[in-house]
Amino acid sequence: MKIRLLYAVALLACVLTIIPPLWALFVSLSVQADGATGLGIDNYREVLSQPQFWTSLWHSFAAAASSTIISVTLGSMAAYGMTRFGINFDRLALGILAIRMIPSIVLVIPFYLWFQSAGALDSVAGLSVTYLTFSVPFAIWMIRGFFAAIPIEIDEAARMDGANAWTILWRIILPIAAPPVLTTAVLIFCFCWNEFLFALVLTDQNALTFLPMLMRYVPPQGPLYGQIFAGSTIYFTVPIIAIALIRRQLEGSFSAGSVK
Amino acid sequence: MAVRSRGAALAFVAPSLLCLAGAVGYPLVDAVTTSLYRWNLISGHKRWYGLQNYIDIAQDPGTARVAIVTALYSGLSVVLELALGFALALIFREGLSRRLRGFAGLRVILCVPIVIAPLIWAFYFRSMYSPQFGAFNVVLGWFGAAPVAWVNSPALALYSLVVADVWQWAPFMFAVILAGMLTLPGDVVEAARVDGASWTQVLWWIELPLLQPILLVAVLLRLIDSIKNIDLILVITQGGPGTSTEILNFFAYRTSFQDFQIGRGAALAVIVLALILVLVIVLLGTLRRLNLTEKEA
Repeated sequence: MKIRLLYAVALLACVLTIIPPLWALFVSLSVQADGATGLGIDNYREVLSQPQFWTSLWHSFAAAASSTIISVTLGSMAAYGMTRFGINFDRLALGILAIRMIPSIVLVIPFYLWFQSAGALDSVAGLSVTYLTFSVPFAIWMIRGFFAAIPIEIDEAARMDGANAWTILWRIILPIAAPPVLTTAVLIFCFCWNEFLFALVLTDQNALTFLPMLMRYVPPQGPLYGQIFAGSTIYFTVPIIAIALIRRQLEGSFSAGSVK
Repeated sequence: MAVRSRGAALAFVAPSLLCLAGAVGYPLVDAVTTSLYRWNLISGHKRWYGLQNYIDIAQDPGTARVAIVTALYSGLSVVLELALGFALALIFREGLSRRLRGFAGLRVILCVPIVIAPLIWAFYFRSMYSPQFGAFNVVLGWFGAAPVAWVNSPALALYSLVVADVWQWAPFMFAVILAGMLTLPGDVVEAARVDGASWTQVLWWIELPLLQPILLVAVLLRLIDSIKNIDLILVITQGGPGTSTEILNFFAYRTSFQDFQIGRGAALAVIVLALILVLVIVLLGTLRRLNLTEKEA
């Protein structure tokens, strides 16, 4: 009896949870023909044939990928400096975590003013710089934890063999921590991929990313839901694939972190 | 023994610090400076205004309205997310600890909304709330009920947004709280059970105190994010009908980039920052306490 109740509530919660995405999938697959509604992939075909869909997808990818690469590189260096030299950086680390919480609205205003006067508005490079404001703090915070778990004896052995700190970081420590660092990189990529406010304010034509582009599928007579949801279903597969690729690391790294 | 070298450590940390100083520190200073000007982006008219933007905001009768809408929106969302997330976590812990089939998979499904871009989630609900063809009114129609103006009535719009927010983020609360519950020391609970404590007594006197820091962290994270939320409002209501869903963050955006009063918008953004900062300080305090207790254990 009690077990049945557990199943009933859990199932109900799951069904409710995935109703919105399923609804969107249904709408994206609906086709109006001769006044009747049927199923079909017309919306997908329509979206895929629009050049703006592909370019905006590319801009989203380029901004997210470049910001991810820069932040993981900087973050690995900072994490190495904070964990391998016997200096206590706990307070600085907390401060860096706090930076991640700063609301975008207070940063986007100065960025807009600068980019406007420097002619950097509507550029993918400019946008990916603004993504560093949250990706670098997150990278430092996460990677620091992974590096701290690696025994310092490994560094000492390498140093005996004549390796300098730079080599130890890139050739020894980073490869050891590669799985969780990769996980962090994927998470950062997803944060950037889903970012909206910076992209909305700072891009327009040449660097328009996917999410602000969706806002343009809203003509006065109402949003084109079929195309919006067809596009976002495709958009959505990118992080899903990324997360599926690292699923095992994801489970592994978090359980390892909790044990230590 | 590690080589203690402050210089080498700083050499590795410095690039990140420089990057953050340039990409975060400087913009923050600039945002505060901008808030001290009366500055219209359209006319280009810009003059020193001192603290007058802040005084104007304090004296504007609309400010109280924005504050109430923000508090209602964030407060209601987070309380409902906590309640739902906690209840679901209890149920799933029970299911997982009895090793019931399927619960591990259901747990993954329940976490799906967390990875969906909030902007896309907002479009889901805009379409589900639409008067004629939206899912909610279609279902009401099955039962012969009249359609409801979910987001077109000033009395209802804010609560409809809260529902959309809770629908996406109660799963986040659930995931965090369940993870916390699964790490609770089983022996303490066992001991209490052996001593004859009832299920509710164990929950109230033993588990809740142990979970309290994690609950606090989850609530603070959600509170911070809900104050920063702008996607739902931008997509679904644009602050309307009237001004019934104009939360502070959206108000700052609208003032800056739709009314182009960037000085005043910056002042509003600085107020958002101040609010978040208070929450972050509490959050960091909690995190440090968590760290300390972990080290003692």
